[in-house]
Amino acid sequence: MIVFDYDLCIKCGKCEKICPCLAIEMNEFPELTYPEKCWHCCACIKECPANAIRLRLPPHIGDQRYEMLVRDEKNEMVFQIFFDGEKIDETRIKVRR
Amino acid sequence: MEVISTDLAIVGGGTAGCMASYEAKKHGIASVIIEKARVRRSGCLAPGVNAIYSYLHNGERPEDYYEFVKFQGMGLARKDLALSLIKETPHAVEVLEDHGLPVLHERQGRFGMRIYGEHIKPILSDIALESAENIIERAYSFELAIDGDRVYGVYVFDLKNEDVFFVKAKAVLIATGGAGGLYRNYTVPWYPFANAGTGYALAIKAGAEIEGFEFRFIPPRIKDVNSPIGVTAVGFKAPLMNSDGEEFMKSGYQKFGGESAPIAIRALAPSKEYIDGRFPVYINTEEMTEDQREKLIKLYLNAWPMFYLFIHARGVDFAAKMLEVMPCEPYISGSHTVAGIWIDESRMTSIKNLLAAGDAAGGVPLKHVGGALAEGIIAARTASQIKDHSSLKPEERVPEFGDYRWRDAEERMQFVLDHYAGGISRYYIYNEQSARIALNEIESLMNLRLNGKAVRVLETYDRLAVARTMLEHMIERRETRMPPFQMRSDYPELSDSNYILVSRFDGDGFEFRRDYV
Repeated sequence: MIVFDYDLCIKCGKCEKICPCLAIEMNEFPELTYPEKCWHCCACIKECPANAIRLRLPPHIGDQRYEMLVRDEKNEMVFQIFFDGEKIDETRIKVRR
Repeated sequence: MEVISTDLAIVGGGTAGCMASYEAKKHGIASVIIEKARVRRSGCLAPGVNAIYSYLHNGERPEDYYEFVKFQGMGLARKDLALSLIKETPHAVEVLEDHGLPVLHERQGRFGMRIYGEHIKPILSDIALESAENIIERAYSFELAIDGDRVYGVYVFDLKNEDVFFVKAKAVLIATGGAGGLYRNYTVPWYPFANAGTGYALAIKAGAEIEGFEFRFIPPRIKDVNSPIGVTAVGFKAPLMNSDGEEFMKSGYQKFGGESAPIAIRALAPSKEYIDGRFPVYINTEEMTEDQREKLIKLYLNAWPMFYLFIHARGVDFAAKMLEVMPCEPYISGSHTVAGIWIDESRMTSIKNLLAAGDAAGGVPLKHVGGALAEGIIAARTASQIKDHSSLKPEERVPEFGDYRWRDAEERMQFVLDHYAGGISRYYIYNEQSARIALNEIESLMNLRLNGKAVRVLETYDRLAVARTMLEHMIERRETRMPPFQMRSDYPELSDSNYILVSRFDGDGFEFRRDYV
């Protein structure tokens, strides 16, 4: 499931536009209106300019204290794992030549 | 009603659709892409992909590829389609590389080219942006316009302002992907919810021929996270193992090829272990080195990033053979079975000027991303040869909305298919009686007019149309031909027949013919 940090959110609406499954809707803030349609693909997380969205596992498959954030650094994507808000691992991959 | 005119209307801005717009421009014809979401991250490539399969490496012949997919399809594959497709993939990969895709120029699996493909969709989107005359996003194609034996356009529902417009074209390409969300899922699905089988529904309702819908795709996956096991199993030679420590692919499935048996058998075998109580089923990664582990994680970050979160949150230790395997719910997709819209070698469907490519088109098992790219190219080339233009004007069309909640209809459909049409809860098996119960229920649901958010209503209509055709095929094939993709308790013996069923909906019922291969 994705979780929004509304303190960081700049209400740009990019997450609503990018979601391939049309699961997010913008009200005052973005909301996951159709949680059962979320594919956990991370498109919204990668697109968010404020790094305000994180991924959690569906509750029935794992620990909710772990979260993943993905930062788009142009030719690289940086994947970060958090436990209770604290960063515990990071992996970078090259995405453009 | 607004009318937009173009040469080629492309329904779906995914892998095949974006590549088609590139090839269309190259051949001097204009194209319009109609996309439900946003091309930059839509369809099944949203998270990325770590290899382009259906790629012919130097020194291999197209015939080798045909033999490979025929083996994967347990004898059922269209030779004309396989041979024409495999010749185009290297060219498609060159175009992607020119636009910035990191291609590693090393082999992955039998016919795979390794890439760092996390950004493949944004790159395909760049290609479409410079190629298509127009890209219309947040727009849902809901009906084809037919003039006698040919198509002349498509009716589209604008999801932004809830209005209908018409795209008039010399050719229409269906590139919508396949169908997920038909059956009840136990976790995050293999295939995106976005892919509602819209292209199939468009083709079925227009009376186009449909091929192989009796063969559902049931991927064997890493349990819960639903990530591919192919990378781990094939790339790192990790064998499958049951709770007794037995490598059951080697002991029980040697005649099908053991660990490298066709994909259907690799889904069947773990299911049997579950039924017989020898679970959990593991993929044995004890031998994996630290280097290989890191490489594996990077492969997943390029294709299914949730895996990275999963191994942390679940404390997965590869050395302790902790990864479990379980097949998930069935899908209909031309990417991994022969199910899809029937096409000829030029990617023309049985309706004139209506083309299909990628997961929407049938006939080639294990077509993958490479096959979708290739078919987009072939379809656009065919479109460039079409000169005639219908003089018909579009009629007024609006999708029908009603007062039955879409969510209630969807839930009923998923439950019924799971229980009566070989879902997970029945370990994929069905029989005539059970399939007829499902068919009856699906037909009742199709009589309802649905209420709710337009996109959800339209998706539900499409899934129901796909489900009905699938059930008609499942009933018509009175044998077990490819377990568990198609497996019946009333005809349990494994058949080696050499045909794929082809159906046509005439507005009333279904007629069948057999495509011998």
